[in-house]
Amino acid sequence: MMGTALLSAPLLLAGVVALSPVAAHAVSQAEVDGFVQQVKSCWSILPEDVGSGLSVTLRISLDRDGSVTDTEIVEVFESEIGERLARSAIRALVQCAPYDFSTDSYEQWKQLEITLQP
Amino acid sequence: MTLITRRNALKLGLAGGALLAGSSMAMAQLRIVVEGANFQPLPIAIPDFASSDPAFGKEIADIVRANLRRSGLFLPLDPASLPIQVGDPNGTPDFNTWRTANVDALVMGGVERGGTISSSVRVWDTQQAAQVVGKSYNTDPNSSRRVAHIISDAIYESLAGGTGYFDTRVIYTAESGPKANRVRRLAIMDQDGANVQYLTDGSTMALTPRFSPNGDMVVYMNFADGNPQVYLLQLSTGRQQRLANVGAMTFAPRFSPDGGTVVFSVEQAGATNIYSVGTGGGSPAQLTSGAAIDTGPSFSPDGSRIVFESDRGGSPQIYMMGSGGGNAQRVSFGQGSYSTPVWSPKGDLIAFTRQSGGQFNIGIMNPDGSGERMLYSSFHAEGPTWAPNGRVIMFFQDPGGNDGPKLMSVDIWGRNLLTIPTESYASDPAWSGLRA
Repeated sequence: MMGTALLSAPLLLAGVVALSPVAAHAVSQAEVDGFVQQVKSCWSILPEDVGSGLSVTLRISLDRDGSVTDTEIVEVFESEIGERLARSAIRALVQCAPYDFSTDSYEQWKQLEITLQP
Repeated sequence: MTLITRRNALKLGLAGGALLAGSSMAMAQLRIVVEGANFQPLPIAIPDFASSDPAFGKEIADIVRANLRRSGLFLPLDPASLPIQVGDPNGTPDFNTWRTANVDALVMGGVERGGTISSSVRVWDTQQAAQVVGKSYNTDPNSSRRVAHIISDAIYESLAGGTGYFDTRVIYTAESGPKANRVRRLAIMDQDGANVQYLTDGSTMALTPRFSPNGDMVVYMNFADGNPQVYLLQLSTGRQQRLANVGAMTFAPRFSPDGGTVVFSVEQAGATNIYSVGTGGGSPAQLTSGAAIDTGPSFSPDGSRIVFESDRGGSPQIYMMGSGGGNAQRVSFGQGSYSTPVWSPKGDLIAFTRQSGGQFNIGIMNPDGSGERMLYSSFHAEGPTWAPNGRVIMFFQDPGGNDGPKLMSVDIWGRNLLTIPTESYASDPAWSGLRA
């Protein structure tokens, strides 16, 4: 099932971080909440896709200034709606940058795996 | 659900950025879920189309921009504000330039008028630096507006999914003159209000026109015989004939999805029942019986069922039966009385008129009657008709008093309420399918 491995990870809650135990400087909950709100403010989908029940998972690379340097689709349902969702999600993540994370914890947030659910 | 790996994401053209072959990304340390998205019209850049006649290239682009803006799903940017004013349908855009201008969706088109009108269009996703769709067409030299509508449909389909609805026509009852002595005749126009033609001369009243699936035949109510009777009119020849000889009055006609049958209502001895008849002739078959008023039949898009209005239970409600008649089941259960049910071409919704509390409403429901929601409410509004993509509904609204009715449209999410410009008062709209 799509997303099962991701979403059943015991430390993963909606909008909250799964931390690596070796990170010396951790990303804060406030930074994650800010990131989520910022992406949501940019993310636009068609009215009929709102109730589709589908989601898309992306992996993004970020520069120290919070800009997005690379995007990769990890998982999306292969369909016309899935393609639209992926395209709109990538657009939102790229357009909404730069994101505000502390440079002290850059090693932790230089790559993010993001699941977007309408 | 299918997992998309990086390799087949590239094949789908969805992988973004500059991934090097064979590179591997380190396991992400953070996983974040973002829930909830809003709808905003998609900003889209449409420079004027390239053409040896720049005015023609601008004219076509103007129609495309107007269509997409009117859909409510797109926000065409002011062409004067764009990095370039005239598009290049053959080259690859400088994506950096467009990204810097905050343009995600870009349309480059070209159009030339000669023995035919040849046109081409490419839609680009500037974030992905990839073409979304590329198409070219050759069309009748007298159909320049249709070129713009066909291109609008291609853009709409590539970015909004489903099918478009711009290359369509609307037939309606054009009304003119004082309210006490109104002249009503049939008119047909493009969906954006252009190219109006009048099909009857107004000497006798004509109401409720409905298209055949191929768009060349129309059924409507003709009062030339005194009592209203259903007539078939062929648009390409202007020929018409009475559909059937049955009952005192016949009305509320609609074609079957294959165009071979017309269902209609027949008034006889105080009762109104639904009949069907082949468009090639033959005896009408009676589909409902009883003393009630059964009217407004509409086929499901697969032709297997008919939804209709009946007051057999005491007040007008929506019922459903097989296309052969019999065993009708009630599907409307909300407050008020229901009328004019019309099945969406997609089969997933039924539009209707509902009266309650002194107000008229245009609403939609699932075919089993669940999920009822109102899209528009007014002193007097009725008679929904569907765009062929099942996302937009047109109807007429009458403000009352000495004023006359007008055509309006709304999408199935209750957004984007529009008035359709007509040179006369207008009622009873029927939307065609996509033109062949």
